[in-house]
Amino acid sequence: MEKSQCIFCKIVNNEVASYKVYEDKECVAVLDINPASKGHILLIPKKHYQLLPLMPDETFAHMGQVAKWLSYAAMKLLSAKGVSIFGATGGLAGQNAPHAMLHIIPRYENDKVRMEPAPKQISPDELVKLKQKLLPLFKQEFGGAVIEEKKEEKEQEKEPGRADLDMISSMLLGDDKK
Amino acid sequence: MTGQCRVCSAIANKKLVLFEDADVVAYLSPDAYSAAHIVVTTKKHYSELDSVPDYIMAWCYAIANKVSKLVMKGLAIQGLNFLINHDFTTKQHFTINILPRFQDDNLELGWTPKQASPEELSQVQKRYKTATNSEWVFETEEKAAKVARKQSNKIQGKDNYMIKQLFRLP
Repeated sequence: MEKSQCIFCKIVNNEVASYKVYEDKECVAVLDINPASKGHILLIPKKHYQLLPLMPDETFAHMGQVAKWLSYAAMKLLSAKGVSIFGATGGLAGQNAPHAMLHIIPRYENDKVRMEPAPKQISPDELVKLKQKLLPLFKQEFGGAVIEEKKEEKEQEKEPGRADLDMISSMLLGDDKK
Repeated sequence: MTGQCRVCSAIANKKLVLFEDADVVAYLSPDAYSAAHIVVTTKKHYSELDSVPDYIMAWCYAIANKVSKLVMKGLAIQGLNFLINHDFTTKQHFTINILPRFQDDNLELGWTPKQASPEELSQVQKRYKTATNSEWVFETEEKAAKVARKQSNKIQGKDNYMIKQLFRLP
């Protein structure tokens, strides 16, 4: 979607009325007008990113700090018993807007918000397989910070570049439009 | 808390750890909401959400974002959820869940949107605004060290960490 048509960009730019509850240089927090619970906030980066993982780490980290204190605010000011912070990337995951955002949902007794699915046990074999698949990527990204059995093998795999991420994004957004 | 806490045990059991540094750990969850459920968490078990220092919270989110990107590149996923469920009443270990999504994974996350009147929304907005009228200044690692030094010298610093003080309601 064109940035100029994005309703959340319009909210950020005050072209559309909203119930703003916090704002700084990088993000805006507004009340969801159809809330999951009392005090439901949409935390939105000011810049238009179509998907959450396309945000720079620093911006997302900043939003994390804001989300922490907005959660604290929900506890202190609205007597929430807990908080769910939810983000969706791709239609299958529940993304229904073309602008990245986090939902901050204050939680209360019997609020009927569905955020705690029953966990499934993953077999040790499967976990080993998953770890083997993911660890090379983690090593590439984090280098020495990854804990691993001492095995010095050079990664042959080339770092998948920005183009890959863009391709995946358009795939996920394609899902979204269905 | 280390004894009973599942997160503390998962961190101690290095087998599932994908990333670890001084403050933050990412590991594959053995009790998973979805296949390849990854947990990003603080290494230390902080007893309250607000006691997680801002700079460590920021680092958790930065790592979660990096993990999301890696998962998008490395697994054939059809979506991704970011999920924190934090209960303020149980002193639980703060965790971020990264949930890769696949067709037919039967994972239900959601809510039924409610109607809220403009009056209700204004009232909630007003409540929040008591603490959010100015831009928040977050705690940096240097600032935390400085405050700790000052406290140990029993000197009240002017630049003490301020956000929490905004919640002292009249």
